Amino acid sequence: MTAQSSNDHTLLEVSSLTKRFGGVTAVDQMSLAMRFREVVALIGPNGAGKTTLFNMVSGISKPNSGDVFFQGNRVTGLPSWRMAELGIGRTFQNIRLFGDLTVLENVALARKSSWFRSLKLEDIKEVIERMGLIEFAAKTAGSLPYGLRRRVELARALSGRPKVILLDEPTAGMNPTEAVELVGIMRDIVKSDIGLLLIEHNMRVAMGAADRVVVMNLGRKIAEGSPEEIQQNSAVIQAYLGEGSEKPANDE
Amino acid sequence: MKRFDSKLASTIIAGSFVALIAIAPILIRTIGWRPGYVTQVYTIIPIWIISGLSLTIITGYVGQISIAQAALMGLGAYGTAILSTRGVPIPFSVGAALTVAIIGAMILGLPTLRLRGPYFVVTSMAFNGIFYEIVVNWIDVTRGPNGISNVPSYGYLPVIGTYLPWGVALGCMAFVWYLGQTRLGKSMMAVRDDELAAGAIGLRVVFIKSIAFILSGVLAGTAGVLLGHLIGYVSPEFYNIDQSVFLLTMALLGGVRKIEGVVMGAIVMIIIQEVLQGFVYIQLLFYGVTMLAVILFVPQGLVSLFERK
Repeated sequence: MTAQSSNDHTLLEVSSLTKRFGGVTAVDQMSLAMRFREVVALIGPNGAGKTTLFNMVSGISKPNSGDVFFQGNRVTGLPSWRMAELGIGRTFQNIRLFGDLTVLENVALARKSSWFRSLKLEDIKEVIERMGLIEFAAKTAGSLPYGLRRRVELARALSGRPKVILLDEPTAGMNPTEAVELVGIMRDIVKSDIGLLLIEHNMRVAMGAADRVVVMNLGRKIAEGSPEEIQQNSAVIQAYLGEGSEKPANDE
Repeated sequence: MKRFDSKLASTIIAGSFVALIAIAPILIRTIGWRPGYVTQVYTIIPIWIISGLSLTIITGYVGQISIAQAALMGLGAYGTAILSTRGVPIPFSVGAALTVAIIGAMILGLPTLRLRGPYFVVTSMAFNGIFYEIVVNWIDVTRGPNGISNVPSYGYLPVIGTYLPWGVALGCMAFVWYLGQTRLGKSMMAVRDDELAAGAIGLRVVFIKSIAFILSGVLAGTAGVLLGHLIGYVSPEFYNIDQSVFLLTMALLGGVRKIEGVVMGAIVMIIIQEVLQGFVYIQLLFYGVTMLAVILFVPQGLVSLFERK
């Protein structure tokens, strides 16, 4: 299979994935598929099951039923380290860095190499530079301000050379300028043959960055389509604004 | 330039430390101030350091607080004592004892694959309690509360007896320091800081924790083997929960994440013990208060007070 043809194939496919916590079905028969170089935004009200879906795809929790396929192989229920090794990277809603390690160490640990080598800047210099972190490389990750920590987490995910990155609310807590900057970074990342699946509450970011939008509510997929289609979709408007809501006036 | 200076400073400090260790026995004999006691202190410090280093790996690097290090030492000490008093040559009895300590450490580590924080602390204490009960009650093999005497001792051999524990301790210090610089050591620290995130970037948390417990078992076992063959005697009281609490206090006091911290902890503890000599019964209370004070006021240990920011 040549690189060209692999780009046309499905990168990640989720099929009828279900997760129950006790009596609550957090994710219910959820399916979606994405290709290389595609940016898919997953939106939906709080409690829709978006993060639970991410956790299953990244191996942090196991589904009750359904399957996850990655590059055509069934990877359902594999442990998270194995998912990462295969090429599924992720970031977390509440940034999870190794607080007492340096930025360099955080980023370099995600890159496979021998156990007995020390972590060297050369190995991950391009990622650190690309994310504009070079001057912070020797700083402790926990000591950085919020916006920088988000960037370190993204750099760490990138340094594992993933084929898809799951971004859980990457712009949470960012000001509009930072959010726009991040959209630029995301577009740039996709150029290097990486697929992005992002959970996003900032509609401007979701609609601006995504090729396709998938809407979840109460564990199920209620709509899917281009950003324009989704903006007009009555089921989506109902999920966000409640039953009986009028379609908002078009402000364009 | 600044980097070079701090490197030079550490080299000078490390060099003087080794030189002091080398000339101390000669000084002790020349000065002749309580030579028996001072020599005893001189040989016990490296053993405490080695057991403290076993905590550096699982508490300092991997972040699991253990009150079972004395039991791991005990597995080493009893292992070699039981075998060597039955005629097994010492190299083999030591090898077997270290193997037993590693197996013990792996069993101790099993619950950390599921339990975190305070739950593991309690489990580790139970591990030490079970070890103690077995040693006290399995009289046929361990001779129960009386302990095993006449363990072959290197303690009276002039040069070996003096320098062996320090030689081993320096080797262990170098090893633990080196481990802390490698990707393996940094992975352990990543597991300490955020286990979930460590898995999500491809680190095998179970594997990393297992390696840490194995290495910790080797170090604690080594300390036990050295102690058993130093004093020629093993007794359950040397390896009970109180001793584990003592070792944890020592390591936390000095700074469990750093080799220098453990060394400092061992030295400070010797001084504290000297001061509290007449008050054996308040020692445990004192350790408890010390541990609380350290956690509250200097969480990274005394060594952090000397770090330039």
